[in-house]
Amino acid sequence: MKILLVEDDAQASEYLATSLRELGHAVDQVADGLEGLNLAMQGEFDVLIIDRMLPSLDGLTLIETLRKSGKETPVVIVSAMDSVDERVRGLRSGGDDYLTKPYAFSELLARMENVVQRKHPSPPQTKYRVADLEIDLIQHKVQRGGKEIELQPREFRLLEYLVRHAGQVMTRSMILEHVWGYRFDPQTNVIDVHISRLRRKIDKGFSPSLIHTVRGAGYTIREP
Amino acid sequence: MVFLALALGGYYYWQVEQEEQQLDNQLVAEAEELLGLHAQSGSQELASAIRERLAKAAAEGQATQDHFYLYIESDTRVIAGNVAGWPAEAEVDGDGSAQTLTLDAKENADGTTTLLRHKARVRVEVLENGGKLLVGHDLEDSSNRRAHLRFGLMVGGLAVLLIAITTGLLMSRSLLSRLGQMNHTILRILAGNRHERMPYREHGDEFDELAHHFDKMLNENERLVSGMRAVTDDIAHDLRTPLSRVLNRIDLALRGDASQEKLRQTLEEIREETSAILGTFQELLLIAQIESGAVRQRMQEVDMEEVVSQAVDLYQPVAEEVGHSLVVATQSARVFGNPHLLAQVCTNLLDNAIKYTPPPGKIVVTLQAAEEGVFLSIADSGPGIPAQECQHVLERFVRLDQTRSMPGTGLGLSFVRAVAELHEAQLCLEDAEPGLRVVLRFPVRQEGQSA
Repeated sequence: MKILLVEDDAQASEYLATSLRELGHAVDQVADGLEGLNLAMQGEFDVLIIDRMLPSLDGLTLIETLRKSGKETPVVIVSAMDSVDERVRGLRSGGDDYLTKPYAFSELLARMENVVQRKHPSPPQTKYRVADLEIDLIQHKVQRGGKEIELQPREFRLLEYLVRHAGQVMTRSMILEHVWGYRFDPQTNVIDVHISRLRRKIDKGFSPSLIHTVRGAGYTIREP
Repeated sequence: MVFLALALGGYYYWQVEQEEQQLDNQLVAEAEELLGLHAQSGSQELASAIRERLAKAAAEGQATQDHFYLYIESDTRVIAGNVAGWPAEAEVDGDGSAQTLTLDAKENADGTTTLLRHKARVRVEVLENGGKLLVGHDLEDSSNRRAHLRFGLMVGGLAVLLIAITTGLLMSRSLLSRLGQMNHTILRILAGNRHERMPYREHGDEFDELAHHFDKMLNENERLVSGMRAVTDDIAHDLRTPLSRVLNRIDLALRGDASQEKLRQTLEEIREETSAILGTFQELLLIAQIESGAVRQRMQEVDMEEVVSQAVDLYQPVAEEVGHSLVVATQSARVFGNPHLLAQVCTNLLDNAIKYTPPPGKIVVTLQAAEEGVFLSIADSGPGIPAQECQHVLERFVRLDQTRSMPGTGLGLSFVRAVAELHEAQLCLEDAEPGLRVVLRFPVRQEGQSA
């Protein structure tokens, strides 16, 4: 992917850019808000990572200006400001996701991929298929290898979220946010418990396993 | 004072005016009567009528005259009357209205005649035959009365003035002394006696109100400041330890020539420790934010049953996995508050209950909407908290000895308490016999009430 990184903290910017390049992405780095806006307007980027507070032009204003001129490039806002208000303001200005510093690189990566996917949505489906796993959203039915699997409502919601983003890494906080509506991380790793229960029903006794743990990041469902 | 003088002066002049008006009316009546007599019966009758009146007054023993008459012919010859001569100042060509003059009155005492100067209110009429008639009333009497009135008013006015000044002085002295006391108190508070409060007189007057509001402001400030201080103390106290651990690890790794593998392990430990510190830091900030009331404006009507069900839904498998049974009984209940914070309170309490109850345990969550409020209760079958520790565990970083080895920041219940206070909810830790029961009682919200 081609990524524009607008971040005035040189160290953070360098760390992010290096990590992203290691994964094969092309990264343009800018430390100034106005410069960032200019680049974002001209260049064709797949995703923008924009710091909330920037010299010469504030991050939110940058995004607002961008959106007003019709640029719909997906944006992930990163900010040291942590409050529900700030988050709401960030999303209202046209940001697609909001991440509070400090964050894990894997979290940023997962969210970045997620917003890029969201900008190019596949047509809404009522049936999803991952290998021999079939999910019918209308009839609330799950089958694997032709065998019906009974899921509790919350297990079904969790599986639905995973298969809608099959192949992408979903972090624990993304799962909490989208399946339970929580924007905080409970102390215990509750999501691990839910996933392991789901695994027992989806993967146990079947081969190969479809739900994978991505170390230090989260979970993904995909064909092996 | 000016007002009082104006009022008294005004009254005086009104009185004088009234009296003069009355006198003038009498003069008019008398003059008209005599004029009528002259027109009907002639000069002789007029003269004898005047004499008769004077005689009658003398017979009644009036030593001094209070009525004056003078009737003169056109050639200034005096026909009748008790005035020595036609007063030079008397205006004859006027419209007949009354005037005030000084007359030489003839007093008939003991048969002798003396002349006395009298101030009098006089009316002059010109007769058809060219003669002139003067009718007058003595003013000595009324000027005496006026003097009396003036004196009375003056004494009264002075008395009122004195009383007013005295009361005014006393009142302003008391006001000034109260203001002085308040100022002194404020200065003492500024000088560092932060716990001092404003003086009261229990009068319920504006000063007490001012003192009350001032105290309220001081209390609120003190609460915020002590909250802030508590956070800094906590940070200093509880973040220093893990931070020094991180430092030690780094130093240790730098000193020796550790293997690649060993360094990697150290880095991972440091990473874990640092992210735990950040987590604690974030939670402290959140608690401070809640305690300062900064999140108050985001309150809304919250479906509490939904919030509880969601949290239970999240924790049910966790409880089951450990071997606990999680039992839920909820009613439809609405609470005015912040849905995210309320959700976090539920997950915190569930987390605690699951963590501190040895399996297999029983955790019971109930939500009731009663007249006295909305009750959320989470009870476990664990060891509970000794009654004397109940207040203590709500403080930041407090962890009871037996749980110190378990994961956690020691901030969970402080968070719950802060959220409870924000929602004006009562937080009680009770003995569930056995176990701990945490009860939150949210106030019933009146219809149309705002935050």
